[in-house]
Amino acid sequence: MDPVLSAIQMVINPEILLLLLAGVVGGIAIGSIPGLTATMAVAILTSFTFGMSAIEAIMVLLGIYVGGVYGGSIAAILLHIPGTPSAIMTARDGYPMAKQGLAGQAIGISTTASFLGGMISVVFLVLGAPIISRFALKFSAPEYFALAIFGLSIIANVSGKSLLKGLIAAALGILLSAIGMDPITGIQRFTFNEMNLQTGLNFVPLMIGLFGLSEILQQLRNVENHVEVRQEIKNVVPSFSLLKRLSKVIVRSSLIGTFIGALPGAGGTIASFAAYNDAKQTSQHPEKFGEGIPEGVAAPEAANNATVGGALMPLLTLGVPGDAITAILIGAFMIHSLQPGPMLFKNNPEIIYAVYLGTALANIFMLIVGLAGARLFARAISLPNNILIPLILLLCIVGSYAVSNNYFDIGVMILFGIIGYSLDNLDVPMAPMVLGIVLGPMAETNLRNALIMAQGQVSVLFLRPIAAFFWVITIAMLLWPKLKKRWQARSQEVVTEE
Amino acid sequence: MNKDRLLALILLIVSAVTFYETAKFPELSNDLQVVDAGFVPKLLALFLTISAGILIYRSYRISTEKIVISLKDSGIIRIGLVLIIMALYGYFLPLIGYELGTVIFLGVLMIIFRLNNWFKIVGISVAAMLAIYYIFIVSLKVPLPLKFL
Repeated sequence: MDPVLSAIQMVINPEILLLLLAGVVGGIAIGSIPGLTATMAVAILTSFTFGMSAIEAIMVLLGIYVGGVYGGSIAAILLHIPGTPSAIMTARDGYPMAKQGLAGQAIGISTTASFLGGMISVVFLVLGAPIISRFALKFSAPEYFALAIFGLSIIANVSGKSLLKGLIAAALGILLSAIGMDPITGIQRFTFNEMNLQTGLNFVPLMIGLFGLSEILQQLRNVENHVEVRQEIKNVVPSFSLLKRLSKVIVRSSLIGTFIGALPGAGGTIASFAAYNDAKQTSQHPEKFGEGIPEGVAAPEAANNATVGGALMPLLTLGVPGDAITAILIGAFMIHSLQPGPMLFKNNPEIIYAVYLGTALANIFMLIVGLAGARLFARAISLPNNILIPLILLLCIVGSYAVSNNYFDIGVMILFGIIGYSLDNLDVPMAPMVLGIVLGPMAETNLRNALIMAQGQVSVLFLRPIAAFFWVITIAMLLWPKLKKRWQARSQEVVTEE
Repeated sequence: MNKDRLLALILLIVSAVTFYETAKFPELSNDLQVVDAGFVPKLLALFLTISAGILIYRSYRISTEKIVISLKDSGIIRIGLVLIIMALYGYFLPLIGYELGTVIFLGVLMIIFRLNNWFKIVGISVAAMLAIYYIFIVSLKVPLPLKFL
């Protein structure tokens, strides 16, 4: 059967649509709660997909991803606390709008802009992904090794203040990925005679520990803190004239978001900064930005949701995650025996089309749920921590156990929660560690295979044209943080120039 | 203790364990020796050792924040208590079952987090236990250790 028809048949059925909707609702709910990020939403809720088929699981996770990125704007507008880092700029104009009694309108603009941003990025994903994947089919071991190193160069962008600490985290991640049977020689490595380690560490409990439990442990110091939402939510659906006024800003911001999303490591936060800056610079009333102007909400929201389609491009075509969320998504694909990359286009094209369709539908659901459920999500934000935290901890435990019905995985999750919490306090970022865990096996196996192929000649890693191309862009990626810093500094200068 | 020095110490321990373990890997034929199972782990351990050195050197040149762990800090006590309760829940899960274990687990945590309304504590614990039961066991067919349901 034609893969497009097959994908439509897979996705357009009541059960799958319901799962996608549930994913979107779950993502929005978690993303809207300050302190609980979209990354955490994907990490914890991955456990809900174990009993599902691959397509069901992918749909749920796409829903969570899209919903989680959007959900951050709700708390940003109502509380002036961005639910996720990518909603920082949304708070600048969203909260002043809420204070003026326009909370409903701000949520409506944020939802519609997020929807349009997401849809525009899906169009680019559909057009761009097949071209990249055809190119990627020419890869062999040296190219894959160079590609893995290129993927790891994202560390430069997700390392926070210290590149050294980012590299340390990545090295620890690669080391963790080496636990278990060596794929080339079959030797058991770092198993310490523990039966449960012979097949390596289970990815999901590890992620839940690093991103779920460690975040909760950070919050446990302030468990008494809880904020009440008292904003009145009305007139959520934006008028046609307002949408017409915002259309240019939304399209420009969506293009910025898609482009930045496709750059590994750049992500929603920088996209929303760049789009906000662009909207302000091109506005006829730049002085109104920061005082509650609809363009100030539409620009960052269109951009951060547009990064989803952009970020799916390197994930699907090269199997390289652009950030922590897509790294967890790759892990989830693998749990369901799907390896993102060019071979997925060749062997399972229907899955690729299903991802396109699922992302578009997730955006549509996000629009409906966001507009219809604004009042409900506003109440969810006010759920006290002394109820919310125990429920999340329960999900962490049950989710870890459910991976393979093994109590050992609960221990792994708790251990990595402690490790994540400790490393966070030592200013070691978590995202590079996840990249190391995901890309470690790819880098190691292909490095060793390439060296075996070339009988130990290291030059094979650099001299083949495609490999050389990746080494060049790796160097460019390592230089990218300096450019990014300048870009952000310039954006902030413009924003604070008031 | 200085944050960077503590991190350096951890890295040195990880490197030492890695070198020790890789030394125990069996010898292979000539072709595979260059890229044996310990090749990449040894490279990483070397990198971590060098990084530890840089961190120690840097800690004497640039003053970094100190990390203080005090048992008088209520946050630390709460974290420790939560981790112990989680470990106990995981340990006793096969013995007392998911239903009772979950209600006790949630109830105890809510009490620790100063929720004083008994009606809420019991109601939320039972409702959450049933919700997870329905999602994981009934809908997704993921087995959990049951005793009563």
